[in-house]
Amino acid sequence: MTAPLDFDKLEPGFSFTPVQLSITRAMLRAYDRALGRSRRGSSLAVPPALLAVLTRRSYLSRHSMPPGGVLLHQGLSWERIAWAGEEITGQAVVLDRSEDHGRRAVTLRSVLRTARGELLATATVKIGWPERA
Amino acid sequence: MQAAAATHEIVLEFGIEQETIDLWAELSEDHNPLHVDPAYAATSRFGSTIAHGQLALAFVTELLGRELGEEWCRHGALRNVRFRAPLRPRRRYRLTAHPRGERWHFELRDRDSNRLCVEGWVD
Repeated sequence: MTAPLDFDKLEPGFSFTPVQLSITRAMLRAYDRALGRSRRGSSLAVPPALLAVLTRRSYLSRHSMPPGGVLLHQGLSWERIAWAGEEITGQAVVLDRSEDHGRRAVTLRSVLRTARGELLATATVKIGWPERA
Repeated sequence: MQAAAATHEIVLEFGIEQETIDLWAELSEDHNPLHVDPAYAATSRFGSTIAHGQLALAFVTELLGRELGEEWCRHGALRNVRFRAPLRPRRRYRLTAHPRGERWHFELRDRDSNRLCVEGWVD
């Protein structure tokens, strides 16, 4: 059980520790089942939406989201095809944090790179944080 | 999942079930009770479980990937995606995308109520 991310500690500029990530064949199969699709041939190419999943793990490898948090806004760009089993490094940084009349939000940017340091994908997310207890 | 292409509009209709959400929770390791715990979610402001936002993005990239082909799968982007309303289980959704200049704009709506759930741009 991992501790939830603490809103008060997510200062803008805070960088999460880089994490090693990968997409497994089991994740590709689960992706196909969730979308009701069949994979052509034996392709191990990673769909862009699974890169978005990895960018999320860049800030949740050692923490969990507090219950009630929701995704408000997202951008995602990818620079080349990733492959199942490929070693990927992810790192996230806090871009912004706001609290206005009890409405809280955190904006994060996550970058994925290959083992050789090539840029693979970048995601920016704005997360609506649950209200204070 | 059924897709249809036209000159100026591409469309994908699909359904969301709790099983779909549970599968996405497993692969994303996102077990937020808003997604996977109907009892908890019933007490939330949403009143029921809701799908992960990135699950909605997966349908968007599936549709655009078919239309824009391998080059887009190699190098592409989703820009300014806004989650306006949640996707819920036991509902069907209609995703449409239109070219606007060099980009595409997409909208994901509840098929029955026509409520806008997600919108954004594709490069």
